Amino acid sequence: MHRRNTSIRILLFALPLLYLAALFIVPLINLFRMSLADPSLSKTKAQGWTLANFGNVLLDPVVIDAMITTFRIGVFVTLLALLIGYPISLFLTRTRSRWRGVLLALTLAPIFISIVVRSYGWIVLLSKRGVINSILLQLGVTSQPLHLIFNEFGIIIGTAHVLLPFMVLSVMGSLQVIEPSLESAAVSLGARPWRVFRDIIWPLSLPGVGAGILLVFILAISTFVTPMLLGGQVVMTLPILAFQQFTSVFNWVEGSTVIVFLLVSVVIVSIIYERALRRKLSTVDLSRIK
Amino acid sequence: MNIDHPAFRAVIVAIFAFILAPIVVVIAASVSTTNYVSFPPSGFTLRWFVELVTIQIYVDALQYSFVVAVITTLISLAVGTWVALLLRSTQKGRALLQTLFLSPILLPEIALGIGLLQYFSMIGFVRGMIATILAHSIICTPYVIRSVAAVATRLKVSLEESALVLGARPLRVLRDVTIPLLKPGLIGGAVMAFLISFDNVTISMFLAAPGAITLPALLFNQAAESGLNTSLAAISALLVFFTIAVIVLMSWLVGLDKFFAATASSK
Amino acid sequence: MLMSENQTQMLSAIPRPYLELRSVTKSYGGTLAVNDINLSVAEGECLSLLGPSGCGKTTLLRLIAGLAEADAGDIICGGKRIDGIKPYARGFGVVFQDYALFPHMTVAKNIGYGLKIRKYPTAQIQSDVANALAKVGLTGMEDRYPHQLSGGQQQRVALARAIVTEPTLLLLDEPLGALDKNLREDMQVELRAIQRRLGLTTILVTHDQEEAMTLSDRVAVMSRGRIEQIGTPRDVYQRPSNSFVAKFLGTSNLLNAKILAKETGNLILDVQGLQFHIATESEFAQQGDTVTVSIRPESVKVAAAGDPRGFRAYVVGYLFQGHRALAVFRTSDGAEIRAFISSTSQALSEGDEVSVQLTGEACVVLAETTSDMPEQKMR
Repeated sequence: MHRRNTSIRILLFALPLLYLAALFIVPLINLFRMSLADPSLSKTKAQGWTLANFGNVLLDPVVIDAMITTFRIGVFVTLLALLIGYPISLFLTRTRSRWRGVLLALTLAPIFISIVVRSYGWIVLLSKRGVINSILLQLGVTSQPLHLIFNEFGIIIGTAHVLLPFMVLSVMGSLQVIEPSLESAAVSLGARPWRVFRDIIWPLSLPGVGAGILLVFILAISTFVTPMLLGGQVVMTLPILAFQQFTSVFNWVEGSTVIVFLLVSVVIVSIIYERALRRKLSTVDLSRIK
Repeated sequence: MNIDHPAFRAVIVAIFAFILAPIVVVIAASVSTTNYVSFPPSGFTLRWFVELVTIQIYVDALQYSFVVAVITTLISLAVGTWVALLLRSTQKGRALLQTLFLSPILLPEIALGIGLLQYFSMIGFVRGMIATILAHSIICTPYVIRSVAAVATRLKVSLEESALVLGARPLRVLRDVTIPLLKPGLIGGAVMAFLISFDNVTISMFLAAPGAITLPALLFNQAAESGLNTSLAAISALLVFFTIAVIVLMSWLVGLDKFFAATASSK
Repeated sequence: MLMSENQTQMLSAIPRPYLELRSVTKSYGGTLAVNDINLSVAEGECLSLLGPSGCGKTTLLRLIAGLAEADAGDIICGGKRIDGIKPYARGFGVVFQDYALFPHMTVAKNIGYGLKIRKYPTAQIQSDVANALAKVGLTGMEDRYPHQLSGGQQQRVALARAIVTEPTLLLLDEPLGALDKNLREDMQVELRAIQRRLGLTTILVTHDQEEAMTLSDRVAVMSRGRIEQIGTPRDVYQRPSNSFVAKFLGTSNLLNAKILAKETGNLILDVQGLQFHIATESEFAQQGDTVTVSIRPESVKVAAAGDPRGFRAYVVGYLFQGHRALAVFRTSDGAEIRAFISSTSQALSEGDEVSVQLTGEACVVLAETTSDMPEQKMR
């Protein structure tokens, strides 16, 4: 009887697994295959085998430049998202306002509003004749419009805006688990608000902060739409580079190599997080205690 | 920690302004009488909205997006619910299988888009509606799985066992007890799948074909080629209203906090 | 009296056992949840499976219901082996611990569910549901939803749902566990009445010994996958076969006794210097051995210090409990004895000396575990 149960189970899993394999696993394998193909034989079909691509592509100064730009943007986006997201998470976790639900929805709903729309918004806000510049000029703060968009700055702002909800969700996850009685205990022992934050809240929120940083960083280096729209064709990130390889240069082998590099970076960053930071954060991991 | 401190409050207000600014600005810009986007909008007119109906490519793209989203949702619901229920009754290897089925959203979307583009062309599968639907379903199904699983784990097994001992065969139990009680998860998952498919840009772009392009992908192309104009702002405004309407509808059906609880992601 | 007598009672032909379990065994991931269980239940009888959590009683119930499959052994119902029959084909009524009422169906739909599956005509379903509601005292509640009912009402709806299909066997998993004390006592009376009236063969799982004794005709005390003792409530309470049963059912005093002499059917024991004889059919105890005797606190007699019919002990605790008082004594060598004494007699103070009296009729010599007993076999 047990044997029959197991084979039924395997059969039931087979259909979705096949679906996943056909539309996800196999294409990814193919992607890796392409990065190992010989571009001199064909630029768009997988022919031949070579490891040279990685050397050629990854040592190409243009590509290296794109890598640096991409990771730099990733770091700044993550910092900005953390800076903005942490206070909001704190507020949403602690507020007893009856508008809490609405405010939470307002914070998270942008996930479902098209990224193109949000990017448009930033264009209107940050361009030379845009809202911010108009206000600054009128108030006399600046005499000339600032170059706020179609450069890295614009990308960082726009991407941070897009990825903010993910940071908020992550941090909230940790903050919600902290019992209010811990704060009360600290206060009763004489701690002022800043110390309560520094000694109690911040350390206990680290797991969520860590997870949020990882998530946002990975999404930031992989994002494509926002850098394209807000980068004004002058900023070159890895995804944009890959995109060009596929749509204008038609060197699919090279494009695949770039994407594989990106994928591997994502995996490496995840692993580093798991190994290195997990230890640091586990001492304050509340979920273990509970 | 006093969160009612006025300085903190000011910071929060500023942050919310930051969150909402781009969206508000786009909507405001869509009523400007000028063709180029300006803010504050000069004048007020709804003519751009009216004109949209006459611009064929937008109408086509909207229709296309809608059809793709609906079919994607149906596929994702079916596969996602199936997987969620299977995972629920599996002990061995559940964590591994769970990660496996959720992995499409853990990897960069551009990798999937490019991967599918190459793969489809390699096997001679034509780009277009079916390809787009299949691709969308891969990234939408994990959301359905999460949404349904969130409800399924709280579904007491004794309810299904009750039905069994009362004489119902397994399929009947599914129909009479399991699915009805999974409704909140199904609805939440369906809405998420729909919105994610509808809003998708990257994958849709790679798999678009002449005449078969989604609205967001079209908007992206237009902005990238010729920059922003008020018509584009008008469509964007419509998209925003549409999204808000869907979310409001869903919160009325299922409840806001359940919806966002299922949205919460954790790696 | 020893286990062998209970054993005989168990082995002796239950005239026509309705349900029989033969050498039923089930493990979960390496642990034996149910270990070679033999059991037979007569038609119309109410049997309790009583034991602490983890003893296997719920697993056993699920095996009978068909919700789990035994690794070995047979389950026979009405003369036929039902092991391979799926739970939806067994026709048993089950009440789960959490009631498991379908939250999206009304009370009437819940109760009528089993009938709907059997494709009864609507009119009949309606009248059967009304009858069932009347039997459990909930007439008129047809259109309520489970979340609108109190715990006691939900429990009765769950019961109605289980019996409306006229099952041949009723299985109850901790039916009264979630109710508060007063409600529980009322429900115990009602449940017993319903079961008697319907003459339904019932198996009840509980960790509450009071419940087991109130509701059942026989009690099977379980521990770690085995049945330690099975018998009428009076039997298992007054004649526990081993220290587990003695300790699980009510409070018990366990004292060391030395066997001074052994005659057929009789042992002469020495407990704390007090000598008395006790009727027994022991086969293993020999003269000179030390065994454990159990005596219930209510059977311990306390007399004034110096009374020669008892042994000396000192008061170490006295708790007034309302209708009675619990006194705790200690002998000079440290043995502890608890006794219930009338709350109207004079209160005792710490340090007081008393004379503790035991009689042979009130004591039971215990085997340590079932493994000390001769092998159980089902004929």
